[in-house]
Amino acid sequence: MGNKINIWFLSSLLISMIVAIPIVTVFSSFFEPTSDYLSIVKNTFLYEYISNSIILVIGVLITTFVIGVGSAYLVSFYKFPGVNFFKWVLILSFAVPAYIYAYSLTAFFENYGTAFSIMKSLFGDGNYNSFLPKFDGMLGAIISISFSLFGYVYVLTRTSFHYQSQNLLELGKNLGFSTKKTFFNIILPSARPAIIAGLSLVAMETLSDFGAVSFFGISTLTTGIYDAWISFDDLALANRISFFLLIFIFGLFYLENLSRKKAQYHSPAKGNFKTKTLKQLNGYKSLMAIIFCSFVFLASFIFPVLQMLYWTIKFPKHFIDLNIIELLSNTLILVFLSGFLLIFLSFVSNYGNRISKNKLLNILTTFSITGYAVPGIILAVAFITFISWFDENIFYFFDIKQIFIGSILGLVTVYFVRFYSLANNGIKSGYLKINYSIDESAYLLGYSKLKTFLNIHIPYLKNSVLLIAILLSIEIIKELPITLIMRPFNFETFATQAYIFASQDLLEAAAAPSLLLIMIASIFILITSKYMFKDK
Amino acid sequence: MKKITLLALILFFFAKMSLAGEVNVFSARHYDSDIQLYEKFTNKTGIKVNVVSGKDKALQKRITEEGKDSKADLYITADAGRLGAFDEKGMFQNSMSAQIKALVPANFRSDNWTGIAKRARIIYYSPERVSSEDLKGITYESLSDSKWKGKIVIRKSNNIYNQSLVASLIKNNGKEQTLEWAKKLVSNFARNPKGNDRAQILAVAAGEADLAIANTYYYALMLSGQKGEDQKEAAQKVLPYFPNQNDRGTHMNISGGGILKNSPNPENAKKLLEFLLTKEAQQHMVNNTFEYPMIEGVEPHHLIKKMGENFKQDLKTKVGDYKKNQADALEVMLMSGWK
Amino acid sequence: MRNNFLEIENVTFAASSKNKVTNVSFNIENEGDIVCLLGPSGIGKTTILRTIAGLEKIQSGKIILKNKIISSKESHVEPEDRNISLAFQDNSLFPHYNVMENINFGAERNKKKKKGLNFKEIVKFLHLEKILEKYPHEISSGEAQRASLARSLLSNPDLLLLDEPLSNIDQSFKEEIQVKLKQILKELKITTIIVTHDSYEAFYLGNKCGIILDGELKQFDDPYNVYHFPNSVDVVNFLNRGILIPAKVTDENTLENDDLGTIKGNFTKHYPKGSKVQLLLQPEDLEHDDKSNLKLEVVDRKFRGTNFIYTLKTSSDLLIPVFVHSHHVHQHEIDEKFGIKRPINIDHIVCF
Repeated sequence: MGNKINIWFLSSLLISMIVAIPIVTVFSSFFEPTSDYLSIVKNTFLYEYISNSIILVIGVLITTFVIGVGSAYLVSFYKFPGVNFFKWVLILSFAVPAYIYAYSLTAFFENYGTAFSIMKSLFGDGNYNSFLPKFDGMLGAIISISFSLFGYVYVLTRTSFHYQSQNLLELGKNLGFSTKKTFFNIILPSARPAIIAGLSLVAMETLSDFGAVSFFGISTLTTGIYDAWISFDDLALANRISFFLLIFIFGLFYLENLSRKKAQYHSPAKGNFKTKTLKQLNGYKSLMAIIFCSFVFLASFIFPVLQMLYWTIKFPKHFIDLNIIELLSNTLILVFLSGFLLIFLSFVSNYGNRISKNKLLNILTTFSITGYAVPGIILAVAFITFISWFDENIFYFFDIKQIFIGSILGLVTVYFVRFYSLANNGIKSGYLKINYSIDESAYLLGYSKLKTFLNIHIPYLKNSVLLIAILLSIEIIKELPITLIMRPFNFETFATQAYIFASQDLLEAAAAPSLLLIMIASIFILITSKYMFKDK
Repeated sequence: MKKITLLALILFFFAKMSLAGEVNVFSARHYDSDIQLYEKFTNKTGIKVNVVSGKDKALQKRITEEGKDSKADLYITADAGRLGAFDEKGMFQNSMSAQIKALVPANFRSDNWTGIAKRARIIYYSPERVSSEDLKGITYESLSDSKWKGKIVIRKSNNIYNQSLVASLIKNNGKEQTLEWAKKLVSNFARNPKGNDRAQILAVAAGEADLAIANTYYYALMLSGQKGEDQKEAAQKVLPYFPNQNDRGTHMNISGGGILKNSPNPENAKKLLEFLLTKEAQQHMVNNTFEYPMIEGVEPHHLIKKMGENFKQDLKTKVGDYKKNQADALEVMLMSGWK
Repeated sequence: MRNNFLEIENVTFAASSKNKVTNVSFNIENEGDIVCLLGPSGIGKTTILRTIAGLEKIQSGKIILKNKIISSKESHVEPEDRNISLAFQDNSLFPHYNVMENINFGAERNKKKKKGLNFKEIVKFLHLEKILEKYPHEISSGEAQRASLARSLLSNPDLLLLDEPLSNIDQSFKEEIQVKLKQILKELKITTIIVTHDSYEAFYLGNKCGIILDGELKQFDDPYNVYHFPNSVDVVNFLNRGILIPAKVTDENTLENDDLGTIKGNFTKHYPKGSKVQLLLQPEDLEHDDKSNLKLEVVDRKFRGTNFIYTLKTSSDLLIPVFVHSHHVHQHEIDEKFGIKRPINIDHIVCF
């Protein structure tokens, strides 16, 4: 209500427009004619793209469900040796991007790979290749993506389990349910929204994945878009494929949003929270729990780290040749600039929303968070397409292409589009916790809007902002396709350096930047874990 | 503050770009040795070399999108078909100097681009399971022979080297016949295509297949021990074989580059291209990348020489023609069920 | 030039279309006066406070504080510029600051003036010493209310608005706090509007009471007048102390009721002889007299410490409350008979 158009409205409008650029670009060329490749694609590819994408997503969902929910259940309800250790090391998997996992998996299991070398050094010569499993192709992609993404399911489910009330469990006992029945009839259903939210995120990320699937040479909708757009130079075809992908993704996006809202109903008020008594596991069961958690931890984090470390040590030349300082500073510049911009503008939008209570503004904001659902590769190329069009048709008196394409600014802009929803939702959920009467109280005590923001909001949101900043940093450090396409001359990050070596069949050279990437992301995660599981 | 920082960064990059005496290379080749070569070039001429590396088509896309504002001077990639296709879009300028024309055989260049190194796509076999008698007179065409049923490995049809190879077959044998051939070849596959060229050779070493088709430099790379002792030993279990020696010769491909139409520094780009074709640069390149030199008077790496010297190269099929048939090649492969 | 401290002129208070209080006018004449707004919950009392504080805008009428229009359709002074303090009913303490820090937020507005109570005095007065280091989620809702009140008092506002300030405070504490609150407000001359549904609280604290029913301000008067001279049946029913019994005006000073007989007193309004009216009968209007021949049956007895309230049933099944001091020696059990002194004499007769 009140005055409809003000500074908050205009800035939110601007943010929404920037974020909407790629989607609008994709759809605006939807009706353009496409080349002959369309018929080839229709006849041969499209079915394969879709079926591969579906197989991939289903495979990843099943795997992440089992390892994510399984490990979350064990560490949330039971006591066994090392449980507190597992509780937080399992989130380290966030530090390993799927494409680096894919490199490790290939390096280890390929013919005459690391596994072969280990067998040979242990048992002498032998034809180990024939019985070592080959984790490549679809299987490899499913494993790589699952282990790098199961953290979403783990963290969300764990949080939900954490807030699950003791009463609920006691109810199960009262009704005489077995452990199994309690799990399937009480624990699992009440955590369902969180699990679905986690799985939807996983599915969205899987559909957007480029690095791992292209490494394993699997044609999915994402690589299909890339091929159509970049290889066949057929924008219209790319858009048609994007359309399919976006349908999938927006479905998931909706599902995730819906589940998250439901998940909120399930987390009880602070006051009612009663610490659960954890069940002590003994003997055989305890051993099984340790084995399961160890397996997940080893497979998701230790395995890729060791493989990369092994290569870094085995081929030290590549490590020595690496310009670590430059890679690090490039990576950090991107992290700081984007992080600052994202958080600053999320604040602008959320604060504007809060004080102007404008419904239209609310809708705009909701619209502007869709960027996260669109694969980075679409965002980057669509952004370039848009800037070129804009440059030629509207802004022809000044060369904006130079400013946006192949520059830090352009790169940061596309990161902004991609990660705005992450930042915005983070700040938003923080703000949701501040009752509006808190603001009113401050006004009534004579605090101006600015003072309220500085003295009340900022201190309150300090922790959420820090958490979001770190999550953004991790995402940006790992980001590949956007960086690859948008970065300036001679500008490499750990991610692009690793990818470039890997795409040149120099996996052993990709090891050092991969390892450094994982290390930096791990440091950020260690800082985050303090907040992620803060038991208030 | 934020604006100032951004502005400073923008200016910084502008400043960097507008420096005189530089050349901007968009390269799909990511060899460290290439970077070393550029450094040598800079030391020699004072011209700074900026490199944007990326996947070839992504680079092309960016150059195309940037249009007249593109900062790119030189585009370097592997595969002649790609160069030809990019040329066909009018992205290169007619810039091959007399010097370059004199050095590079006409088969491996056009007026607008030139090869800088060569590679052959050949057959690898397991001497344990395949006798040289079986291989005698083997051609790409004869790989469709049913005696190889379940014995051949090759990478996917989306691979550009395969597309160029099949394009050369279409050029020589026609589309229909090549389709027939491809169908039979697919039925000879030992497994669904996967992995890179090196993985094909390793599959033969590991006993998964008897024959592999792969580029020459992958094999030498493994033999050099740069991929570790185990892969070196594995490569030693496999031998190379150059096909089509009795007719047109072994299929050749190139790494190459051209000066872009909107190049801001075409003179510097030409200098760099010419530098890459000097004996010094060629020697450095072949020693590190295991490719064949583009010019006369440079010896390939000894591991490459050991694979077979003076084999017959297919000089009849111009590499510049690959682009014409690559689309057909892809279609043929897909229709034959080549994943 | 107006002389009232606060004037509410024909204001319609509406946060939503549901609870809306229309066309409200009342004044606070003097600085330091306390006004209590009484009414059932959900009627829109809170909206009135929010509007006066500036959190809601108005579409009609005017609000004038110290001769300055602070709300009207055309102009709106922002809440932070009003020097009006509002203590919300529900906990509105800043969750990330402890109680001490929260209270100190009240000092912002009072920084320069340094008037009124200081932090220590307020803390002592509201018994907050023990919880100063605690965070809002660690204290009870009554404690939160007191802390919130402390914060408002510390800001020494021109106008203090209290929304059910004592609703969550333990009964034992409540009266003490009421007394002290009144003392302080008087001493510091803080003009206050208190919203409550507790008429005792309103009568005790308020210089004036406003009764809000059915979306309007029904009556605005001294507590004494509101109690003794309610201006409508609705107000009587809302206060729920006395009852209305049917009676017939028999003379200038008398009425006749079938059960109770003759009732004498001074009419507040003239009714022609023979009119049938509803007579307001307050509990203190009837006097106990064991010797009286008017005996009524006891159906209920409420012990209130200082007094009893008996509920008596007449022969025509009217239920009449009667007030009796608790030191009264006779305790009448339920079903026993209770004598009412006759003739019944009422100081002022209110009829409808």
